Amino acid sequence: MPNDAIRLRATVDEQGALIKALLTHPMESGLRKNARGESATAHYITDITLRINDETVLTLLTGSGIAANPLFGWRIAGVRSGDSVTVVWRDNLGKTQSKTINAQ
Amino acid sequence: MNDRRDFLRLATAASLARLLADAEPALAGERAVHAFAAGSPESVYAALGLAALVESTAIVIHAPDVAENGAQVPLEVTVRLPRVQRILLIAEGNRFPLLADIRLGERSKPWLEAKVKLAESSRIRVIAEADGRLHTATRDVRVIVGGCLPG
Repeated sequence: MPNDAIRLRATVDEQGALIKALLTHPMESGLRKNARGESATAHYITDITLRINDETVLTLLTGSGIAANPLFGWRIAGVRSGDSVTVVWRDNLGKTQSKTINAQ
Repeated sequence: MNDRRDFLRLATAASLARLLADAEPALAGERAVHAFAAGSPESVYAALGLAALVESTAIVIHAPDVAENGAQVPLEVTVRLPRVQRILLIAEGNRFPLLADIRLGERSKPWLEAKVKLAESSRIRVIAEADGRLHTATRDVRVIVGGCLPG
């Protein structure tokens, strides 16, 4: 999967940073059935970690009830322009992906 | 002999798992698999050991009153309390109600946006843990087309 499958933005303001992350993932619950009555395999992100300059500031444990191609917004205090912002996700099939940017 | 070899193999696997767990950030917490597999809000609370929830107006949930598409329902949660360490998102009408269990570090503000699935018109419940106390608030969302239909 190309690295740009995570879209990440960190905008610094006077209170810290507003971080928006758009992940590319089917978030398939395994409950849906197709026309032939076959269930899709459950495939969803189970955890997401947000790091600022290698400090973990936020961890999300997620279930299949998060929408496909998950979009999140977070606010973190004390982020300065140029700080590194990393998002890492892992799913129930053991796949993982990460992206690092610099806060603007 | 076989038993012993199996035992050693298991022991090695266990210590490896522990090493991997140690490498995880401290915030990660234990993933309560039972909580995400629980089929009702009450069984989510039981799986997570949540008790003594207090209704609070300090939790503000923004969501559409009517969602056209239950597969993509935008939520915005603001908790006006100090020292919020954890936020739980629950969709009471979903087959698996627990949507997310969020651990906030000291620098994380108690605010977040997320898009979630709602299987049907349902009550969204947010639980926030601050100073060891559990605060909760709800918001009803009417769904036109459910987020878990065959497709």
